[in-house]
Amino acid sequence: MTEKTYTEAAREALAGAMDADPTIFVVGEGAGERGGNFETTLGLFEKHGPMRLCDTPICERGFIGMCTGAAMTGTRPVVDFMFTDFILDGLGELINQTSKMQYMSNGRLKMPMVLRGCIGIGHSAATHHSGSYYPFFAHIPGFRVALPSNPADAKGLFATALRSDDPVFFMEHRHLLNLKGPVPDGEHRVPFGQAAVVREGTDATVVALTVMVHHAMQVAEELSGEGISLEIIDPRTVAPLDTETILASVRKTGRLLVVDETFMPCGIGAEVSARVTEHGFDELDAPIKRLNGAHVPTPYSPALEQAIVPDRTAIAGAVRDLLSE
Amino acid sequence: MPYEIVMPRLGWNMEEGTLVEWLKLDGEQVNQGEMVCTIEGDKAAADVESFESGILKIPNASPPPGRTVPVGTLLGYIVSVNEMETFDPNAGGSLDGPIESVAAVPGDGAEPGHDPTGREPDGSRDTVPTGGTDTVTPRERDVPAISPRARRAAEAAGIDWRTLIGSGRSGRIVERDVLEAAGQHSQARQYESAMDGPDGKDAAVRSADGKDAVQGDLRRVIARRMAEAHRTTAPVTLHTEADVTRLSSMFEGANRPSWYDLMAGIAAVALAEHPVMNASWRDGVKLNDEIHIGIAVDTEGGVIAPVIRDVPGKSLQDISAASNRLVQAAQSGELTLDQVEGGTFTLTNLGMYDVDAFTPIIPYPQCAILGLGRAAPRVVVLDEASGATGIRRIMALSLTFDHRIVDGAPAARFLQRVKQLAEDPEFVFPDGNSLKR
Repeated sequence: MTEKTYTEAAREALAGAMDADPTIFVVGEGAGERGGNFETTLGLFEKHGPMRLCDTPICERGFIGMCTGAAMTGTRPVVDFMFTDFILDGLGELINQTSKMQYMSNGRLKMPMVLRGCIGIGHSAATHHSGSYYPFFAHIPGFRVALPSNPADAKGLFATALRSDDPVFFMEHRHLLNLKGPVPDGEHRVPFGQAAVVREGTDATVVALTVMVHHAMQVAEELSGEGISLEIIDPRTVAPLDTETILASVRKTGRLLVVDETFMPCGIGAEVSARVTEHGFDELDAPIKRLNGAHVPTPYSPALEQAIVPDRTAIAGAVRDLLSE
Repeated sequence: MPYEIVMPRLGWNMEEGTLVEWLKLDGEQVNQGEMVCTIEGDKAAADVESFESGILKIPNASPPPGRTVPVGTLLGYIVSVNEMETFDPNAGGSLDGPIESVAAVPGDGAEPGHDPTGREPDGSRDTVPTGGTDTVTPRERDVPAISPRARRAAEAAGIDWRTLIGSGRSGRIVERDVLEAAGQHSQARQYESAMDGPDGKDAAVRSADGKDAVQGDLRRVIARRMAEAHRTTAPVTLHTEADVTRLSSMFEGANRPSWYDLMAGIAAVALAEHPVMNASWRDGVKLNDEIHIGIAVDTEGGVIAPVIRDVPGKSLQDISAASNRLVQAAQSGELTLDQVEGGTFTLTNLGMYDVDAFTPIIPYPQCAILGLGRAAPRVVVLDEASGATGIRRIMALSLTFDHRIVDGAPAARFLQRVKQLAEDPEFVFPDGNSLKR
């Protein structure tokens, strides 16, 4: 174990995979000589050169389409978008081609493509640079969606993504990029579809995604002083989604809150809630609750930005509300 | 398809029933129209008829005789002879089936990257269990809300959750309420076993004639219904007094009608004039065309209110005859279901115990109940101007009504009308027997 930042940990996975697999290459604005706007490829240009660390102009739809074609030929493109928001410019390619190519070729073609970028609100990055959008991608058959919440998972999930034959969205919360934590040295993979029980408890289950895991952990610590025992689950990937671990927890606690920074309607909370109701109805002692960011475009103003994202006070309030059901 | 025998609903308010005994044996031939078992509902027993011919099969999960189960619970099957080879009565309907059974969903294997076990090519798994648990009983309106988890806990502990008071939001029963009740339940059991006589039987409750179980059940039914009425209705009680001197002196002799008979006649006339007082609450106010008046009877097992049907169509003599039959049947424990259900208004009398006013509980879903106090001689002012006083028989009347159905003023007008009619018996019984139409 070595103490590393989230970004360093993911970069370590990328560097290791690029050493081992010459078919991996990175594409993106500033991904080459500059080392990535968020240092995602720092130091790799010097080692692997411009063919494998390929700078692009601002033309997302174009390079998504080209990378889809490249993946069909047997290489492993990593598309670095800086911000997830700009993946949206290539949705036509992604959903109509990238996600369907394996199906349409009866499995003869693979689609080993990683799409990475920042998500999250909280840096006055305004409404075009604060999106999360992972529920969109989890909705589409064929896509994998990874949401690491800590450096070790950033390394482990990225390593798994780089070896997947399916298109993987790897989404890094901006609040977490500089978060430090212990990271296993050498080869480290975290399988998809395996949630982490990050805190054990008995009174209620809190499923939290990405940065919300940290807020929920702090709330659990605060509330433990009042004798409230929370179990916190980090799904780590939302496609596939590990329903079984969540159900096992609800079997124990009977109560469930899903905390997610992004929008509520048709979101991950809705999906978790539906699955638990369907498969664990008799385990429930209270209605399932969701806590989400406000359903509005992200404001620039720091004060407004703060107001639309669940914070510790909001999470503690939602927990109390759930327990009083 | 085998024909299912389930716990039937005998009356509107019946939520659960007791399987008293099987009249046919497991494996015995049953003909269409034959009775297969006896069950007991809220207040009466009934035999259950088979609508099919075949062999009776009783699954292991069927409740043993004496067990009280929710309406709709599977009791047994009637299986045709040619189905007998393949039919397993214990194959289906298990409520405790494993939740984790993993089965392929048809069509799931067609998508590349998914094999039918749900396993992904990279070894990760989208763990959606395809098994499921059955919902046990459909919830009705006017039954307290309960969380699914609490319901399951109550079933496991053998607790009738309908009698519990929920501590969840809006009174929902949650798991802790059931666990608390289960704790009390086991305390009650310990108390009971401490009361056991030397023969191991509960000397305090059991009687020699074997009626103990029925009495215990009646107490439980009363408890549930009283709590339900108390929780559901918005009760208000009004008190007044009526001068019943003439009413009580009007009928002397051997066949003197009871207070219940007289007041049933009076109430029927007043109810015809105030139909909302004769209404019921069934997800809203439902006026009743008929006037059926229940009379609360104190029995060994507890209070029960058999119903005098169609009171306006009866003479005072008919009312008396009906009420005598009902009281006797109640006291000997022989009431049938149709004698206790369908009341639209109820009378209760504590006057014989020197009680004046009280606050009776509404026999939900009825609108109101009229409590009769004692008819005692009192010194009253007969004429205010002259200051004349006299001795009159005065009866206290207590009307509890459901404020959801009717407001205070109309209820008070009804009570005032009852008082007027009680003070003017010649109006109600013009020929001393027939009821005023």
